[in-house]
Amino acid sequence: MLDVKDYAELALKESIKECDQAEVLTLTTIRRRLLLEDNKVNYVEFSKNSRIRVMVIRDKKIGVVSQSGLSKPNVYETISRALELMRNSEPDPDFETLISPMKLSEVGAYFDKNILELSDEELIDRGTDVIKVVESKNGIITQGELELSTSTLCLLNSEGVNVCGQRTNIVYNFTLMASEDTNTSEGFLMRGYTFLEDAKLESDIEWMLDLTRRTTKVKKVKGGLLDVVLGPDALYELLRYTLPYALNGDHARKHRSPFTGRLNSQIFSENLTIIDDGTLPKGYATFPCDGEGHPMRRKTVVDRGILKTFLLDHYTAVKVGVESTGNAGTNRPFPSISPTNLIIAHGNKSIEELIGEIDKGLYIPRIPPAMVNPLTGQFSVELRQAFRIERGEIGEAVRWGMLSDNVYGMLNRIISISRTSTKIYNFIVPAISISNTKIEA
Amino acid sequence: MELEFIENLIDKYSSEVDFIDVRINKTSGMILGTENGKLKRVQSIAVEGLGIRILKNGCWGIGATDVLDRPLIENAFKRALSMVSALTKRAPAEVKLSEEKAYRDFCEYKVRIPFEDISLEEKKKLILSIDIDMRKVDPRIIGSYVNYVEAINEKVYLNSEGANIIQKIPSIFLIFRAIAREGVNLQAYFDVVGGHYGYEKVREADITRIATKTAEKAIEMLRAEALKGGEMTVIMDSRVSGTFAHEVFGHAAEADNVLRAKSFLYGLVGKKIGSEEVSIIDDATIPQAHGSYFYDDEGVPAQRKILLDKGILKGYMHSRETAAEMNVNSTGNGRAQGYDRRIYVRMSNTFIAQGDWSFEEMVEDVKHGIYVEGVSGGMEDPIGGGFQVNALRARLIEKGEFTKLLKAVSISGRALEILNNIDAVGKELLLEPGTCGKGYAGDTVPVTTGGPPVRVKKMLVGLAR
Repeated sequence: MLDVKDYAELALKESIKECDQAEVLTLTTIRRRLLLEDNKVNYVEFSKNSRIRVMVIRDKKIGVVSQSGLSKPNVYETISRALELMRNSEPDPDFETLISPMKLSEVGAYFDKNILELSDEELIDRGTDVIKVVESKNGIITQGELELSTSTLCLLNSEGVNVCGQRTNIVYNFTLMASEDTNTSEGFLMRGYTFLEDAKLESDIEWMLDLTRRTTKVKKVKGGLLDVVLGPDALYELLRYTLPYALNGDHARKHRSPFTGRLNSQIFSENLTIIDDGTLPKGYATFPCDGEGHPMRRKTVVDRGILKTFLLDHYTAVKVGVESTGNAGTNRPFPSISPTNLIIAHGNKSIEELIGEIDKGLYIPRIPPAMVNPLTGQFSVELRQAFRIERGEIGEAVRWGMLSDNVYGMLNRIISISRTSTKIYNFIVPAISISNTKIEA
Repeated sequence: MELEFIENLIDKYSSEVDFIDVRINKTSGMILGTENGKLKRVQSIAVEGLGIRILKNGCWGIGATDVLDRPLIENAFKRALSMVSALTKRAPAEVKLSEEKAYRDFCEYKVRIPFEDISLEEKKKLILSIDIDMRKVDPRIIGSYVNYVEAINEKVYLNSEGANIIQKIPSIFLIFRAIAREGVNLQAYFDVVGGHYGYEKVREADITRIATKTAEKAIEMLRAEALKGGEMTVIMDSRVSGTFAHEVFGHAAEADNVLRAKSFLYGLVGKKIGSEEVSIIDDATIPQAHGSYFYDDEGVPAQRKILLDKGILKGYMHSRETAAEMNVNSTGNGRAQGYDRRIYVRMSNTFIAQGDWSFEEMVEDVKHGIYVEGVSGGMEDPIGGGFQVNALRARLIEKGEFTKLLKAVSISGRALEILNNIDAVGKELLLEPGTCGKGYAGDTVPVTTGGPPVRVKKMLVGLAR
């Protein structure tokens, strides 16, 4: 039986016969998932999925086909269709070449054998342990998932790139409900890690349940311009789509980034430093190379508010005459750019000190998905879990209003940043306090 | 496909368990994309896989494979069985299924122009001409993008009760997107055309007009103003009213949310919860609408359901699982994103029923309010009954007249208050393709978003800075 690497090698060998250059990605993912509903585990899932993607290039004409299922017939069908699409495509004048092999980075760990070896029974026990914690505190997991996955991928190209590796992930999402008298509130927790030991399931869920319980009885928020403290989860919601968009070098080149032409100038508050690090030990996006085989790197993207670099793949880097930053994604065709592990550098104060600095404002630990316009940074999002701050102290829970501002503008009004950070998928985010934030009510 | 082999496996393992079903999905399609007047993407996609669902002692076990050969299919059966056996020993649950008729059927949406009858060359020419139409509108259009997607989805459903259903569903989409820039001011607009049609859908649509309008709206947004938010009268266009019906009401009317007390509609069947102006329907039988199907993913026929009738809540949407718990029949709303995903209660085409107001009549009564157009996203809160929709743009209405163009806004409020504050529903019904998420990553299904324009006396409006 052929493995992931065998299929990739076969696909590359066959496809290069009829084109100038070729790139093949093969991937298998074994996934086990528990679904929790109403404080019960009533659903267990096992799946093995695989995929092949073939990109062929001749005279700058590019054909790409992605197909599920790794089998010999699928490999040949994928190549045949990719070649047909290549013949029918228009030349891409911006395409120069696929990259040649480079010395890969020494990166931190990205594979945890404990995830692979955890038995079905132990996985189910993890789920039931979480339920016990929630039940002991009179909460309900209305819906939740706990997923372990192991992926094996191989990236080969006709210039000699040949990288294979195994990655692991543990992901959990929980929607919790807490009631007090006749009032109910809903909380939501999402986390993704590479190592089992990083997943602090019980303590994470206790924290979210406590937060949910404290927001069952709410007062109507008063509107105005207020200083706010955003918890890591709230900050993550605001940044998860905006920063990858705004820092994307292709968007900058095509004048679609709000920071086009602002390289080496002050774009954010001098309190803010942002690092992209594909080598981070146990990072969610850590791997020896990016999506086209370029070594992963650690680089400061924003240094004390000054934009130092955009994120680039090789395709875009050639166009702008610099080196790739190792941020090629796995989508094709090019350009394909994505951040790796995006670190918002921490500050030197506790969250309590951030709150203590505010005379009148809001502490917002979490917001619903914010749907920020990445072009402009504008957004309005309903306040669902927020607390009044008065004279440096957290007061009553508030709701029925909207946080309505501009993300990029807010990052210019940072007061302080916490010294502790939270890992949420590929983001590492602290809490931050921001002045004069608009609250509609 | 190996249907006989799979039916034999269902028979073989049925004696050990309470219920088995198998879903097989095979999707093949093509994506073409332009960027700034050039063809940037010619991509083919093929996805195939099989998922087995085994119910044993009240617990579900799922096994899935994307290589459909006999040893791997049987291995997926065995893996589903071993997983569910481990679960029933450690954490028994109480899942049951409603009694439903088992159908044997083959259904397909007939298309007038099959995708394969049109050459790749013609499809490329089409999207390039649309892209160029958008760019011609104004030099300030700095980004123009057109995506063409065609796909055939073949779905097979088999179960241990004898069901054997094959559905063949085509889909086609054209997505238009324009970005305008003036100095540091960047604005975008998009539009979409599509549904379960063949190529005739794009031949018959007024593509040039849609392209031009998309670009014009992006340009117009460069002069949009930001006004102070607050409570005011809101007229929602068809897309926003559709998102409202879907996000604020539809999710709360999904019986799994109701059963988990995760819905503000819990216990309200038969009660008047909204204005007499408003009725809300979920209809999976609208021919070729994007949320339509013949059978749901549990083999139950698609149905039309009046959920809210002149303000009175009539019932909820059900899968077989929730129907058994509430001692009713499934409404044919058990749907999953793919062969290996959980079946939840999901909407199909959910919309507010048409009223008898003309658009002009709705506007002329408004002293101070806004007309909100297009949707960039929505978020439900079925527990608290909260609601938020982000509109692409808005127009200020003063003394019955449109005055200023406004930047993107968010409207939010409490569902029951909004349902009671609807005082006018328009005559025109527009349904457009969309997707709906539920559960977690990957759990999206095709739906439509749309309806008639709807006027709400008072809503909270947030305007970004």
